[in-house]
Amino acid sequence: MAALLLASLWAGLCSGCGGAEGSQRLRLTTTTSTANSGLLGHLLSPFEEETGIEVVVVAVGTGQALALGERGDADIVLVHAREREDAFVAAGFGIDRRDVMWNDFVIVGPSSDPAGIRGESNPTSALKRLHAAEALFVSRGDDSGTHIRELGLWKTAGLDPAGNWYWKAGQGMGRCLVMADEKRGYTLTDRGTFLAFHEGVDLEILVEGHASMRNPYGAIRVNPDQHPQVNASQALKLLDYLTSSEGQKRIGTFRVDGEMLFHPAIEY
Amino acid sequence: MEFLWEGIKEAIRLIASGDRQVLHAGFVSVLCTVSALALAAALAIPYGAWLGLYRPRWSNLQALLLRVGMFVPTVVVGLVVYGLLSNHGLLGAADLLYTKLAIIVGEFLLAFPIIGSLTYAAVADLDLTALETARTLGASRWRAMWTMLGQVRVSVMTAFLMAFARCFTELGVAITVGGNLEMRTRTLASTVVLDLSRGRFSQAMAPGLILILIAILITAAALRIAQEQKR
Amino acid sequence: MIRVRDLIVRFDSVTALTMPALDIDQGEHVGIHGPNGSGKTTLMRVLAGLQEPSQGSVLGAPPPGRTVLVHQRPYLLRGTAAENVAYALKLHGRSPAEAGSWLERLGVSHIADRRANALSGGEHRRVVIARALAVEPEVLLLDEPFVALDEEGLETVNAAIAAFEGTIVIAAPDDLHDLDLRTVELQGSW
Repeated sequence: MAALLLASLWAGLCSGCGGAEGSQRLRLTTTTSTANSGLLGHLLSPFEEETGIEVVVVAVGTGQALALGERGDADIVLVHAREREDAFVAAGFGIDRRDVMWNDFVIVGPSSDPAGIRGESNPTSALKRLHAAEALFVSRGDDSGTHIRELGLWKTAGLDPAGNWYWKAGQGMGRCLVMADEKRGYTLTDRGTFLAFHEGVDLEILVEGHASMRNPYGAIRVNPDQHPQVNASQALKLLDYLTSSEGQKRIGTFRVDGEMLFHPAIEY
Repeated sequence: MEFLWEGIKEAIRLIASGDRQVLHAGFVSVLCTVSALALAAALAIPYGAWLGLYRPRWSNLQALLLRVGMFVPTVVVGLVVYGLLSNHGLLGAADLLYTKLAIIVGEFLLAFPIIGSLTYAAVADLDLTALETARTLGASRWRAMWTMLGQVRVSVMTAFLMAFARCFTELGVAITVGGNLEMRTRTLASTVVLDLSRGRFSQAMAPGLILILIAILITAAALRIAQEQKR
Repeated sequence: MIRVRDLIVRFDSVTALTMPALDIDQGEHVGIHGPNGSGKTTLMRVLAGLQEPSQGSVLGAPPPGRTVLVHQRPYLLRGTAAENVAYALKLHGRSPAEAGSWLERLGVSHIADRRANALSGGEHRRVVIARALAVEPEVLLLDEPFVALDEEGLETVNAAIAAFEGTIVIAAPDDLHDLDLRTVELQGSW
């Protein structure tokens, strides 16, 4: 008798956890750096209040975020890797891709700056200096948006980085920053993650502002024709909100340490 | 579950082609775990046995700490070792962060309580007569202890295998203090995590399956050795 | 040689043994006689150096290894009968090959290669005694050694005891089987 009671109590607890209730929960996959910046809470709370829709944010690597969309385990995807976004749509996994915002990348390093890249306006020149100096550089090494941009910059510089000084970390941005800090090395990071972490690490922004360092974000609805069970109508509502004047304004008012991190894509 | 089948195919392909990354990851996994285990066993087996047989002062407290130690999450251990080895930590000057040695230190801390507490439990379960028999026949306290360990060697081997399982598959230490650096400190388990984050689910299975394969081989070898001894 | 004075052994609040005085000379054969619970085993363990007295003193007893106790319910190590005897021999730097002859003395050489957990009660006890004798101790303490022995077993054990050249102390609850012993009586139970 007691065993029966215990078992039904346990079952009751378990049913309370997990099991997406479909109607009022929207699954958004995005990258860890986006989640770490703190933007999403600020951006999504007006939407959630107005519509009563709960947005569940799953923050994983770029590749995984898109892969979850491919499998129909997400309703809407928000990433910053244009080529991969386009491929996602072309393959029929996503529809209705829209520009949402952009932030920028910066190259950070120790204040002592042994490779002397501080103030370089062009990141490719900075990378050339790093390469020549064989200064320790921590790469994401994980096919993330940041990593793809980094590889693109090396390619533009005409360099193929390899050697003991070039570390392929295979980890998230935060950990890579910590690694660069510990080893007094350099790394490419999005400004948001850096601002979130900079009190804990002893690194400085050394190169910033160049056009090639702009990092545009796209939001894509997962294609309901591929996966009928996705929450298509609510995903549309969210996407409309993100690109509405209200949503865009909300992006622009997000501050970290008084700095604007994300720039609205649409000028209203 | 097409992951599994795709994963098996990928695993075979990786091994057959001698994929450098996977081979190195396997090497790192085996090197770190075996080193950590060897060190942990060398210290924890005599320690656990002494605790269980001779019940020195505070032995109950120590036994409790060993048991609790088994339950510390691997990430917490990773965090603690990171704190020690980081620039701002006590051992920062040793420049050990993001090396295989750092992983070995962390995995040692994972293995020690498992081997220690299970050895303790095994010898404590022995009849007092067993220990007294060795002593009365003329064995020193030390010699008698080894004799008792021989009497419970199956349990000690089990402890060893459990510690092996924990270390070989763990992530919290490998990633936090190892840094998951390609061709340096990336283990088979952390390769799975990386492939997963890239969305390559089927590919992520492969290093996982290879890990299981190596684990089976090592376990079988260990049990073989134990059987020989048992006769 | 062995002098026990004012010996008291307590376990928590229970007094297990009181022995005001006991002298045992070198080479003596002594029997400890008394009902269950009178403290025979406790006395044996004190003499063996395995139990600390709560009060009183025991002087002149050789240390463990020179004094060997055969427990009331003895423990055989995992392995064969021969391996058990060999273990004792190796502790004292003697050749394990001698194990066979010691087993022979107790009439159990035919089971030398049988595993300890496959022995009958009588065989078990005889192997244990052979193992103790192999140490060639100065003092041999036997705690109720005649349990589970058949007639043949009793004969061989008696013969081995009679042939033993050191000091022997035997504890038994009843008739000490025609051995030439000075008996010491323990009273009461706890």
